[in-house]
Amino acid sequence: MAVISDVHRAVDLDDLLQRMAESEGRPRVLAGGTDLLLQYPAAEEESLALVDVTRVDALKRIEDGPDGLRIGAAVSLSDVMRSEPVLSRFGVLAEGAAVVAGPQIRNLATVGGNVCNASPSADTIPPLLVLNARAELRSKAGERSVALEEFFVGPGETVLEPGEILASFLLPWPQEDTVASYTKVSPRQAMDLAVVGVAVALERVDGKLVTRIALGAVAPTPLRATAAEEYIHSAGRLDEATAAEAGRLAEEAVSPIDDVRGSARYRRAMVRRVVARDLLRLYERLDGEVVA
Amino acid sequence: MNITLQVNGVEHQVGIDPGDLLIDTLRENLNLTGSKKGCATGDCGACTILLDDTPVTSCLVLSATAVGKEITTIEGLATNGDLHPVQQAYVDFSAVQCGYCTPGIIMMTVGLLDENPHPSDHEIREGLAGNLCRCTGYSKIMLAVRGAEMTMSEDS
Repeated sequence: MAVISDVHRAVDLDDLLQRMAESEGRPRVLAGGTDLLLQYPAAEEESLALVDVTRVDALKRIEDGPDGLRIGAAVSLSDVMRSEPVLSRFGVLAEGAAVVAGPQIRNLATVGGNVCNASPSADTIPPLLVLNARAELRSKAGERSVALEEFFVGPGETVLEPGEILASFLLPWPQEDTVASYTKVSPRQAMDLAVVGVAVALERVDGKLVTRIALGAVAPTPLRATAAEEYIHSAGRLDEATAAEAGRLAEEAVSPIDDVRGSARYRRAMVRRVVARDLLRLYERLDGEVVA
Repeated sequence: MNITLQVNGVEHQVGIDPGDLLIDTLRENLNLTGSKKGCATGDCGACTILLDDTPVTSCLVLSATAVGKEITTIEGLATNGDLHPVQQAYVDFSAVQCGYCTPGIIMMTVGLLDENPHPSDHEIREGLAGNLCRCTGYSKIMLAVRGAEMTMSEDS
C-alpha cells in the first residue's frame, strides 16, 4: 500500500513544471483529489510525491480568444457549470459537469482531473469530444496541443509523458446555430457513474447536416461514433429512419463490459436508443420544427 | 510536517503526515468530532465542511492543502450559544433522527442557502444530493431547509 511522502503546493506554472520535471519519485499531479485520493493506496509505488496544482492561477482561468474558449485544467466542475461563456456557447459541457457526483465533489473536482483520470465513464469527456476540444499540454521542455480524441490510450491511461501536465482545453468557437446535448444513463440520479454517456452535437455546414457523436462508458476509452456521423452527413436528412440507422451504427462502434451498474447488452441497447432519440431532439432544436 | 489551520476563526498548529485527510486532522488532532467519517469515499457527505465558504467532503481533502483556507465545521456555526438558523430549523422540524448525517447535511444547507437564498424544491434536492440520510426519508429535511430559508430571509 502506497503512502504519500510529500505534497508540494505549486505557486505558479514554472514552479509546477520544475517539480514535475524532477525525475526522482515521478511526482503525480494533485488537483481536486476526488479520484486520486481514493486510488493512490493501491498504487504500485511505495510512496508518492504529489504536486498540488490548485493554486496555480494560470490553470484556473476561463479566457476568450480569437481561436476559441480556453478553459484551465484546474477550473472546478462547479465553476465550469456556472461559467457564462460555457453556458452560452458550450452548454453541453456544463450539462456534463453538472451531473458528476454531487455538489461537494463538484466543488473540489476539476475538469482537467476528470479528463486526466481517463475513466471511460467520465461525464465531461463526451461533451468535450463533440466540441472538438484540444488538450494543451505543458512540460519544462515545451508545449504541444493534441486533439482530445487522441489523448486517451486506455482506462486510466493518457498520452501524457512523465513531467508533462494538461494545462488547458481549447474549445473552438462553434457555429451560431450548433446544438448539442449530453445524456447520462445511470441507475441513480446523483452520486453515480454513467452506465452510458452520450453527447451529440448537430449543425448545418454549407447546407449539409454535420453531427458529432461521442460515447462514454461503453469502451476502454470514450470514443467518437464516426460511422454514424458520416452516415447522417451522407444521408443529408434526419428522420426516424436515418436516426435509427445512426443509432445502429453507433452501437456497432462500442465494446462495453458487464459490471455491477449494467450489462454489456443493456449498454448496447441504450447507445442505440439514446443516439437515435437525441439526434431527433437536436434536429427539432436546429430547425425549430417537429419531425414526424 | 507542521502546518497551521484556520478553523472556525481560530488558528491551530498541528503536526501531520503529508497524506493525512482533513476529516482525520479535524477529528483526531483538533477533537472536532462533529464532522463524521461515514464512507471515507466522498459518497455519503457526513464529513461535509466549508472551505472558504464552499461545501466540500473533508474526507477527500488533504490537510496539507487546506492551509491558508478558512475552515468552518458544525462546531463553528453557533454564536454565543445561539444556534445558527439552519441548526435551529433542523431541531424545530425534527429533521434529525440518529443524527449521524446531520452535521454534514447542516453544513451543506448553510452552503446551499448562502449561494441560493430562495432555492426551488428541485434545487434543494440537487443541493443535498451528495448527503445520505438513512433515517428520515428526507421529507423533514426538506421542511427544515424551508424553515431555515424563512428565518434567514426575515433576519436579513
